[in-house]
Amino acid sequence: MNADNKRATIFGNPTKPLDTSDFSARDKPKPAPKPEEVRAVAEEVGFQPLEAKEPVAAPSRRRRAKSRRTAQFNIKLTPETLEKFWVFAEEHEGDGEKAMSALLIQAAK
Amino acid sequence: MPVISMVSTKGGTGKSTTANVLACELALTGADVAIIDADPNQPQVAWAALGNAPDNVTVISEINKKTMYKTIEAAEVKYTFVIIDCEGTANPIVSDAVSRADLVLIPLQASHLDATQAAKSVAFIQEVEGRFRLKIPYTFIFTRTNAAIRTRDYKDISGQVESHGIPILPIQMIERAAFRGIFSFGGSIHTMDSKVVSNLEKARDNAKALAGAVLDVLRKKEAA
Repeated sequence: MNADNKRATIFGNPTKPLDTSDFSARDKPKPAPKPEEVRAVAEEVGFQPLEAKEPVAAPSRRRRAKSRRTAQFNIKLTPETLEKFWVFAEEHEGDGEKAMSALLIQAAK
Repeated sequence: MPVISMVSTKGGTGKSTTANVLACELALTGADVAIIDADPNQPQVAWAALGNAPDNVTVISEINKKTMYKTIEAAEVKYTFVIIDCEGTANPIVSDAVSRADLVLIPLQASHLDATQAAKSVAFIQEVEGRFRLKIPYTFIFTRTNAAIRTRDYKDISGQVESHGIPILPIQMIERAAFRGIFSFGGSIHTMDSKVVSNLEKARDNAKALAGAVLDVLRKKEAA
């Protein structure tokens, strides 16, 4: 046993400074394969990041209102008047609002 | 001269910490050391910005896949040691870091997740060696290990690694506050205050032993 009861170290002498004097910068870069060739190998063996898949938008359950038609117009009519209205509307692309606008324009004349 | 690449396809394995500790330890011998910060999170740049970094440690940043190869070439003729801190994914920059390396250090914690990814890096290195008839020395280094006990995971994983003939660096990076503190306080474990960080001496011994082990591997490679 040594004087200060210290165990022997397995990995050399910790008080001995490290020496790197046998290493130095290279005179010129060491030869190595071309980067594109190594990258091609990486691609071939699948050594590359996983591609994140494009997120797929969930189909909307709601039909989006593109026409700004959000107000309702409920009136009680006789079936005959209603029938006449839809006959008129058929002449205007079968579109209720367009038929209504056309009637209002005609009424204003 | 030597280019030492820290490679792991997984984050959080201890690449940046090991790279930094190794760089500062080698710098302590008076050598000019460059750290190429090839991680987009730029941990080494952030570390240098904290101040107290050794004068002879240079952090090279803003690397991309177009500039990486030339950056390594330029650094190896300028600095005594070049340490590359790669991003924790498989990417083209890692390919360059592997093909130009004199030593690839593959850090891993003793977990199966880390070990699986480390094995993936080894498979790639072996593929490059085979295709280009190169010898790229590589070694695993266990990081963030427990100072007091060897876990069952560690025993199992190190056993498997050894049975596959993959070298393991004889020195581990023990989980220590001092190593975590590098990126909080800046500087190195040699500039830290022992009143603020505990077990500093043990961390310094660990760092020195780590650098010594890395130098031994490099010398063996030169002699081969």
